[in-house]
Amino acid sequence: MTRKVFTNTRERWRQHNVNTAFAELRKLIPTHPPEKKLSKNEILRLAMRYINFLVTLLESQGGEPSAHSQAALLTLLTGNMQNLRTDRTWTSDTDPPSPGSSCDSSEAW
Amino acid sequence: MSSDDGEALLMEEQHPPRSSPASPSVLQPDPPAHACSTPPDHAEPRAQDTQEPGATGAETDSRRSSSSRSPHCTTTDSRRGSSSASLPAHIPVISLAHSKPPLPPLPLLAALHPAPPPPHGPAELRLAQLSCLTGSSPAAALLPPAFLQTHPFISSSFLMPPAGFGIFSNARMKRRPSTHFEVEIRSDGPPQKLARRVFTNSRERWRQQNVNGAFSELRKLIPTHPPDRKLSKNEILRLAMKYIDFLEQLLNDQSQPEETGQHAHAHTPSTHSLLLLTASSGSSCYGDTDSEESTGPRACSTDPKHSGEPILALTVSGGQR
Repeated sequence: MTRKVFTNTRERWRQHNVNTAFAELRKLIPTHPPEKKLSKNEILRLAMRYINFLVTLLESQGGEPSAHSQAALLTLLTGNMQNLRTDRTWTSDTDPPSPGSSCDSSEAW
Repeated sequence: MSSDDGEALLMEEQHPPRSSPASPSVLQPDPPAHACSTPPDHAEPRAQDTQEPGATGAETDSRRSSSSRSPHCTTTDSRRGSSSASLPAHIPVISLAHSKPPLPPLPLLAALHPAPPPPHGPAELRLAQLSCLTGSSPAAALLPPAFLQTHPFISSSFLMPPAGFGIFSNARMKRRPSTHFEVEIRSDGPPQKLARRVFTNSRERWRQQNVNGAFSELRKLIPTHPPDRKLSKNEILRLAMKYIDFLEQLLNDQSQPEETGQHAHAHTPSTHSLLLLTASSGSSCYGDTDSEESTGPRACSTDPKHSGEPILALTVSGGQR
């Protein structure tokens, strides 16, 4: 009985975590009415599009800075991997990543 | 909640056929008593149910009943009947009390595994039961066919919808409804409700598959060190956020050296292209065409081959630049 309660609580917590991540990811995605409600599917697909868009934009911009961006990407990658290795729960990480420096600009869109 | 109700219902409904093989010793007193009047498959469990509360505590009660029926047992029953008849009157009472507790779990098992063959498992018990039943009355021999008649209907009705809809061909999707579905189906009778529920379930499954597909596609875009590393949904979302953050920052860093003071320049061209991006997003959010946009897992996203709207967005933004 207590085990079931524990499992339910953990599952609820896990689901809550995922939903929070959805909400945070949604903040990063620019839409025309900025506070337009998006479904989970839409959030995921639009995030894909946005990532693709940013990547292509970066490529169109950068000639020689691409080497620099690759180095930056490598640092991001190592940071990600360390994150994954150390705290898989991301609970400590929930606050910092979402509203980035450039996020306010995306909200203006 | 609903599944619990369904199981309870199922237990009630499947009680008659299944309970009889489970407890031959319980049946012993009953079939001879009902052999002449009514078919035993309906009469027996009711008798058991009424006895059930008092079975453990009230020893005298069951002893009275067994003693009253003991003459029938000696004439008809094969093994246990004779043993119970040879023993003093209080011994069958003990066997009654022991054989009752396993009763409730068995219908539950039948509910979870809906289409088992007629019980082959406990051969001795079944033999004892069969000999008991056939000895008592010919009507009792109808019991296994009745059990069979109900089950193919159930199994076909709950196996049909996934096959009929044909959306989910993989085995993982089929396995899940087999446990829950029948319980739900048995819980309400009308076929309209049933069909609507089947439709709702399959639509929900389809929706969930869509979301999961989006997850796996998004995961392909995220660079990780082993490129095929498994990520949880949470990790995919968080890493996507980080990646977007990173890309935006990179874009800022790249645009700032060119024109240091002007903030607006970094945003204005992308505004239009993003509007275009969001405008085209609504239509194809559920489409399968999105899957072609991502070309496999990439460790570094420096060589994206995009087809469709992103390239359009790129050309528009490049032209405005």
